[in-house]
Amino acid sequence: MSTVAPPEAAPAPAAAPPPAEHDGFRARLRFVQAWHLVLALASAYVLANIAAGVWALDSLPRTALGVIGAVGVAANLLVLWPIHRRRHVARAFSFTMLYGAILGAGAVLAEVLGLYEGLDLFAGAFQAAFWQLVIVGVGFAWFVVARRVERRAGEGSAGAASARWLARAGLVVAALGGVWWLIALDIPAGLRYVWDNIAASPTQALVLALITAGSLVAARFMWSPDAALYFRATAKQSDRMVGWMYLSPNLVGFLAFFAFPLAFSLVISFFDWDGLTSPSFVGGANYWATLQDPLFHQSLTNIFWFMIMAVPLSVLSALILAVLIHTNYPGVKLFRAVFFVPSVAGVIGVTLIWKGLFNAQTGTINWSIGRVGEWVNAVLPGDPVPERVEIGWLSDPSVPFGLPQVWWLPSIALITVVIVFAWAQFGFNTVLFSAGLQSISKELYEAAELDGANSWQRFRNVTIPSLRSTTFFVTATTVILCLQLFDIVYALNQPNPVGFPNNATLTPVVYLYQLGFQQNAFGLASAVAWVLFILIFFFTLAQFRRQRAEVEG
Amino acid sequence: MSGTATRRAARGGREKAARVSVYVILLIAGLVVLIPFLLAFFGSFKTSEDISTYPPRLLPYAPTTVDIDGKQVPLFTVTVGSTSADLAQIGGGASANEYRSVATNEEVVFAKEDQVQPTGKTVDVAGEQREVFLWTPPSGGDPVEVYKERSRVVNEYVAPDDPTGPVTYAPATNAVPVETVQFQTQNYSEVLSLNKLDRALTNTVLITILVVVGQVLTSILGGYAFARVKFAGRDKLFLFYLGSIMIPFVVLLIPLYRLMVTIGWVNDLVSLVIPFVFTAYGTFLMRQFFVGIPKELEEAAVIDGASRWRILWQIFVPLSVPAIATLATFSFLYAWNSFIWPLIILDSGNLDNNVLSVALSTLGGRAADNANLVLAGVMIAMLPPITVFLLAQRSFVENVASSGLKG
Repeated sequence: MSTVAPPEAAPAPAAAPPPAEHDGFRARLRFVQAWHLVLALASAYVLANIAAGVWALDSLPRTALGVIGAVGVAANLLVLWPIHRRRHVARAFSFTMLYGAILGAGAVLAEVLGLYEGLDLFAGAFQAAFWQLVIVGVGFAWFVVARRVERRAGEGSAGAASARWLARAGLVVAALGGVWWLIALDIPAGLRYVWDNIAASPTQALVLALITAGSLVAARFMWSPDAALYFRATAKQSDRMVGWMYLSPNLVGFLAFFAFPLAFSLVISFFDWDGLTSPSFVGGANYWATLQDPLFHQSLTNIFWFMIMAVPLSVLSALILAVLIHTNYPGVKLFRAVFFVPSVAGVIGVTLIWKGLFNAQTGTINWSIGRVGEWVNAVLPGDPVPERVEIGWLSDPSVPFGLPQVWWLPSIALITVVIVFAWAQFGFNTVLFSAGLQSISKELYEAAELDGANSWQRFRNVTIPSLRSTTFFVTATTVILCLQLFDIVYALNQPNPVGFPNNATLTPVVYLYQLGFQQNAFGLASAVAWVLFILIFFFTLAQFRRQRAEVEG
Repeated sequence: MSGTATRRAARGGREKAARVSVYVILLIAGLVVLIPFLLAFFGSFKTSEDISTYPPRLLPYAPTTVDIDGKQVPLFTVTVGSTSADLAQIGGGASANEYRSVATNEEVVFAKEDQVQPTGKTVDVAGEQREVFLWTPPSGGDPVEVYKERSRVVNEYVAPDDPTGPVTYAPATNAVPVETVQFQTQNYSEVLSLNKLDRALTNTVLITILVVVGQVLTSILGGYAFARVKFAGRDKLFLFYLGSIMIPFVVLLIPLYRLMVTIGWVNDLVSLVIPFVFTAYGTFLMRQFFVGIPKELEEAAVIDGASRWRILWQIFVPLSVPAIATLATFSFLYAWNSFIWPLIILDSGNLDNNVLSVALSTLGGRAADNANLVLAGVMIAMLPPITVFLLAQRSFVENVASSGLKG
């Protein structure tokens, strides 16, 4: 009896009567058994509708619902046996089925009630009540700041007392704002919307609500200590249920929105599919077509050159700056935060700022080049250089520096993207290098100093070798980001077609975007995604090794 | 004796030079980061003419106006001959004659016929006889002998402090608008009403709140399960979670989009929330933090008979505020700045269901005539993430350093 430990609350007292004779326990157990039969019937109903073709669905959801229905029928009948035989497996089995029923019926119920689309409506109300929400935020921030002041002022001082009053006032402001917000949200309108949806399909709503509620009741019973006792669950088994239960909100979403799409992506990469007609199996033809497409070659060439320029630019500069920050002179830490700002400011905003700076006629970049030219003319004799340049940073597909104009060399437009990317990325890399530098032991430097090494020698012989794994990691991270380049290119090129000018900035993801979302070639685009993934994978694997070593070490 | 002293002095000097150069290099890099932001900040306050002037100026300038008889009229620096003054333009399209000095052949005044006195004399200009007039400047001064060069279309200007005083005539080419530094704060309200950008802003706020709250909740629960509950398959599953961090989002684009099509969430804001509430990264982060919490802290609670649920919320969560703050910052930045997914899942025609990043990139594509407004929009979009970053800066930067991931 000592191994029995229910998941929740204290273990039942040893003197308790056997749960079988427990008041109402039998009845509740009967209810669960009956409920599984109900669920089996409901699943059979789904299955029948699918099989008879009553519900007109696409092939994929039809298959999925069919599988769910079949499993529901079989499992809900099967589970009755272990429940009857009082096997400990019954509890987990039954609970899983009930959990699935709650989730499935609940999700469909939310659809019937219009909750998913209701978010769009709510967004309208949210906008109408936005200022009230700002008041709540301001009141709360006020409260937090006042609390901080109070704590700093110290117990019992006059400042602390007034700060406390201020904090209370902030809370009052927040609370009043909250009430006003709730009023402004117009909740009755939302309830009316839900009610209208219920009225539109009352039977469905009722049945789904019943299934959800009944499964909840049954699941609650199966979770209870009484049930654990009855099914002679060990502490280990109870723990297992608790573990999966805690994990489940995350795991269900993870499976639905990550694992399933991932597998699905691999499958459709072997099909020809436009999203409208049913997919047809083509074997490896998508992969073959991808590998032969000159546009894909162009995108790979572009990204290759992009990496050749962007990786050293954003990694080497970061290394140097991190070493400078590591001198720990007063105030230099501030720069680390400043350098990081472009990484958090939002890539679209950053890109739009640079788009203005790169403007051929009025941009600051071309103007600055003109000023340099002016200075050169003033200082150096000889033919004057132009003092007004109009380099088409965003629109020039030609290869710079008088190099031959061939497709496999990088264009001015691509170099522009490199500049924006490196600018947005180097601060992030600096932080990574900073961490690497901090982990180098001081003794190494002291030993080097004792040996009479000067600062360059210390940098060359201590810092660089110690940073090898960090450098590797930073480089891999940057390469992975490069290979997924999309946002900057897209925002720089708007409103021109992606890849503008003349495919000079066509990256693999842009190519994928074109295939998938402009030409609806989903199979082909998935094949591109997997080819790209394999490319990225090599770098990730290397990077991951280090990360795992850190997690475990 | 002086050998070591000079060496020490030299070393001190070198150190000083090193220190100065460290600061100089960092400062230059800092300027490289800040200048684009600064230019964009000032640009967001410019007029649409000012933003596209060449050469570009840092501060926002706008034509000055003055109040003349209750009307706002523009102020110009009007240069005629050798005199120039800041005058208010009260009219245009008049005609006047251009008079030139007999002595120097240079432009003296633009005036009507009745403002000059004929002298009866003539003068030879390039082989042509012209009548000579006398021009007396209204401000006083000696009369000048002038001849009529040609008739011109002119604008009418008056002194802003004496609007009823003498009218000065000058062609538009002789007038340069007087510009002063003026911040066009209305750019911000204007851009918000453009393409329903205000709706995109509140949508982004709503989605970000939902994603942050959802991610934090599921990550706390999942992280707790991985850290503290023992069950079969846990460690394998954790490895699977860890491995999933390696998968680039690009691979999921197509299947996730098709999934949204199947369940009918395309064009709905819900498609920006629900799929992003469950993250392997957040679970990983919370798990790492929970694993480090000493077991003794919860043992007392276990003896007291507290349930796991209470232990999680009353012991683990309060202790994990820094980790939760970091996770919230990560997910905030991710949700606020995400671009490619809303771009493909939302119909660009439906302005009610747009988010800020996509709305801005669309607006930026049509920047030709309103680059100033685009910059105002950019400033609005950047303010929240930068503020959040600065508030959470210390723990956030440390976490980036240790995990190597950003939002």
